[in-house]
Amino acid sequence: MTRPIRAATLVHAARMLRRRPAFAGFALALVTVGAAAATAILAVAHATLLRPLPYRQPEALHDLAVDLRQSARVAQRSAISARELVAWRGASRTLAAVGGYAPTTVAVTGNGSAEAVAGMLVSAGLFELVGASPQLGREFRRDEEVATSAVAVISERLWATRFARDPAVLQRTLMVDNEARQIVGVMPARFSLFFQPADVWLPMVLSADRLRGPVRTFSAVGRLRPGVSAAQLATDLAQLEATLVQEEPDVYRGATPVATPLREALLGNQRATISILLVAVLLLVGIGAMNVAGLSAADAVAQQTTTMMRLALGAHPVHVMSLRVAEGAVLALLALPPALAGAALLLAAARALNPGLIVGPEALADLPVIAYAVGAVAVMGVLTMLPAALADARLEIASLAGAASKATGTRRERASRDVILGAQVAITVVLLVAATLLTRNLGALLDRWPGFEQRGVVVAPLAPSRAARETVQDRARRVERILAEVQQVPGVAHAATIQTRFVLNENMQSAIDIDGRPAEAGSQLTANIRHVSPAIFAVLKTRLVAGRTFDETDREGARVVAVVNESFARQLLAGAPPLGARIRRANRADAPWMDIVGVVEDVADAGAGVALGPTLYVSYLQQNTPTARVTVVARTPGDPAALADPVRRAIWRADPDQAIESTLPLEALVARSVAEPRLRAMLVGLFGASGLLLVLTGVHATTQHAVVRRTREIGIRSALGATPRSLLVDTLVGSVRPAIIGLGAGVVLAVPTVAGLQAYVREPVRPSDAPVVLLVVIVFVVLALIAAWLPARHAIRISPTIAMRA
Amino acid sequence: MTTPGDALITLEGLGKTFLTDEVETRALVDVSLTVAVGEFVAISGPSGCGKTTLLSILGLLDTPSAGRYRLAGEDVTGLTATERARVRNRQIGFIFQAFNLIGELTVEENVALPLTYRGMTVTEQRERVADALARVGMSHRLKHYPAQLSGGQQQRVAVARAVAGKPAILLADEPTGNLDSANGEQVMALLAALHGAGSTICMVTHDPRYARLADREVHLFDGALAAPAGAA
Repeated sequence: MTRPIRAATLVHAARMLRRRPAFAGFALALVTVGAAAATAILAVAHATLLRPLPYRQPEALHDLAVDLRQSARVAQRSAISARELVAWRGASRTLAAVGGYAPTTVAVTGNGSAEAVAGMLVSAGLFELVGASPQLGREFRRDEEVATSAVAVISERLWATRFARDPAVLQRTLMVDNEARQIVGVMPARFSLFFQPADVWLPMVLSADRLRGPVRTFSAVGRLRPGVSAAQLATDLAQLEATLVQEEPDVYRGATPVATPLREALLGNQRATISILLVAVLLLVGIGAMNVAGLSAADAVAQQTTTMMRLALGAHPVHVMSLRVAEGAVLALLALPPALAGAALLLAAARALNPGLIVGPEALADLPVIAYAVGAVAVMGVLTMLPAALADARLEIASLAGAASKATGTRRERASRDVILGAQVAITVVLLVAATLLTRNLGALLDRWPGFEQRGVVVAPLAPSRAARETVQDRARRVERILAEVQQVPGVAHAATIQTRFVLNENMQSAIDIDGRPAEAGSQLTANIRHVSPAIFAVLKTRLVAGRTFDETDREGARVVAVVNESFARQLLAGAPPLGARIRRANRADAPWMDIVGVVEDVADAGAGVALGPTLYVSYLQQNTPTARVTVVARTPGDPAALADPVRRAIWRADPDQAIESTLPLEALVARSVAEPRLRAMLVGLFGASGLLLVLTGVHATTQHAVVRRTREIGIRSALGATPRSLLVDTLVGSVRPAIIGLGAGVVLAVPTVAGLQAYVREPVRPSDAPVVLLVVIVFVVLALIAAWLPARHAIRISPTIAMRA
Repeated sequence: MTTPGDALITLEGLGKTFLTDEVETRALVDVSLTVAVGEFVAISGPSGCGKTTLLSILGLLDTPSAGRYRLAGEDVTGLTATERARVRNRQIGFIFQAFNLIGELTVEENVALPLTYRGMTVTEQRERVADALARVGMSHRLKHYPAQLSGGQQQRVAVARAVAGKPAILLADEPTGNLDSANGEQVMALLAALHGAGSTICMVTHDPRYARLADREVHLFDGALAAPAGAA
């Protein structure tokens, strides 16, 4: 017979919980924390693993790339060329449509201050291919895939901020990289292609003059025709590629087209991580529920007399059970709002630490995710009270006369509880050790000297200028004008430019030749390249190892010079004196030989702990290209954040149309470069802390359960002469023993874990980390003892007169 | 060192009051009593008269609200919880109505339990346990658990536990209350034998048949002694 839980039952249950505030508070806190963690990770899993991609018939979409096999075993996945895109789009028999895209940054001016925004070059028909339509206007036509087309599609955000949602925006123009472009479309709010936000979409240039050469810069997507298999698609693309090989064998020989389902290509690398996180969270939530269940079982024993009175007065066991389930429902109802808020906080924190995450707090607006949250609190709430309900159902009225529990628990019950607790402790110790080492690694990354002094520097990356008519001298003069203005800003001690944005793993490389040291047959020497202004090493406080740095005389027309870093000298010059050695950029007929005039220490400008290797510095005043990025860096003895606005205004005084991507302290950029290790440390730390909380709850619950169940036994022992101290020790040992066994297992398991961690950290784990791990273990033991001691104190308060009761 | 005839227990004006919320219950009122070494005293009276409360105070399980209590010449009225535990362990043996054996321990472990709290060596514990179990005729059930024994056997084990530490006095609270008459007779015969061997026993009972086995019977009524009490 079942009986539905009525509103009156819920009210009654709420009143009963209110009378046990300690238990109710504890259970509520654990249900909330567990449900928040579960909801956050389920939101991520929903967005990445479960929800279909937000495009029409997404299962038909395939990512298209080529495999430029470097050797028989090493594959190198690469973007495709304009010619491949055009060929596949025009002649594929298996693909209904093919589109290309390439993310970029553009400078937007007019109708407001100059702004560097995310943009994307797209081929005609790409929006239609994925099933998206502009909310105003149209997308690009094939005839607009030429250099002279001056059209743009803008985002809803840009429409709102630059054009105040003007309905006639399609009659207006937007200045993009100093070129006026006719706005032909406005995309809907929150639209993005392949999780890459953009405010401006520009047509790709696919004119005949762009279809030759080895440049591969486009990503591509194709829509499979109905009924076509993956094998047919591969054959089709291979045949198309074979045609290209015949036409341009030097460019296309060895390139194999690769088609991957779009979901796999976009999210495949996140799937394993998310699946592991999902399992970890569910495991923790399960353990948490188990521990709260332990508490509720103890609560059931404590409430035994009341429950048996109900049964004696005629209550049906189902009614008694439903009261417990109703208590779980009340806990779930109370936990839902804070659990949702907690999940939002977790997602916001994760995104703040790693802005690249595609899922944020907005994911909680999805109905399925809210349903997950409701499910999580409901399951945890009911699981929490289920043991109590089952215990109540097993009560026999006949034992009402001796309601104070005489049972001391079976050995089997106690053993299973001990095994669960020991396993929790082992898992938690592994997590805590991993979290500690990851945090130490993060600290080591930030402490390591990167080859520059990060304090007191403001960094302002400028959007690249696409003005094709500028000469080397024009660009040099423009940079000099900007630096002259920035130098005038009060508080600026030095200013310079460098071709880097101090962004993680962003790097520029160049093929080089070294005079008198030809590369081995079939290989090419490469080095990182940085176009810099003369004062850069002074601004960054980078140590000069030998020779000199650049000066104002190193400009066009003078002897062409270069500065290299220590790795360059060591690895590429193999011990030969670097000063006076000659190098040049390879594959360029007009590239001049450069004399190395100086050696500086290695500078890690692509993220803390990221070793760049050989790096070549050239003077921007002497050599530069339109694509050589310019980033202004200015040093101040004061607060660099205070310089952000004055520096921005100084740049605009020199060039009112210069778009500035950002103005941030260098320290903030370095910190951002460790977002991933920070997120990893935070996640593992969060799991470790959750595990610790759950384990302490488990120790607490086990002890409390033991004290409640053993009340009579403790009274008897006391009557037989056990001192309060021995009772306390006996209770503590009984609870902490499985935790200590779990601790030993955890330490053993931590060894392979630490070995596995080596692959994920930029700083190796060292033997000197051992004391920190030991400290974690000691802290854990102390906390476990405290968690057990709190309820164990009740053991010594049990009156021995309980033994006198029949 | 006490010898037969000396006062083992002396109660002077003992009182016990329980306070529950605003209700005050006087469980014992001005109880004065002396129990001599080697004496067998039965405490009887109607339900709620304070028998169990008196036995709890005699066994140092509870403390009096008024009066003085001397055990073997020592004033034990104001001892701390730890000191009371030590005296209980060394001087007092308990036999409870509900046997109170610990379900997870074997017969041997149950009997040895009070000895473990003394820090006695394992060898000595084994000797004492073997001796005690032999006295109650339960040596053959050494490794059994309580659930494997009958009620009468459990109570005999409880008696063995009470005497294993060679206490100065045995306190028995309705020792036959949970037993049928046959087993009750056996347990009472056991207590009589112990008394015959020199043990001092205080037994709470409301069964006149068993009360008559004692040297002296003390009646309680509404927390007070109902008849003059003195040494037998």
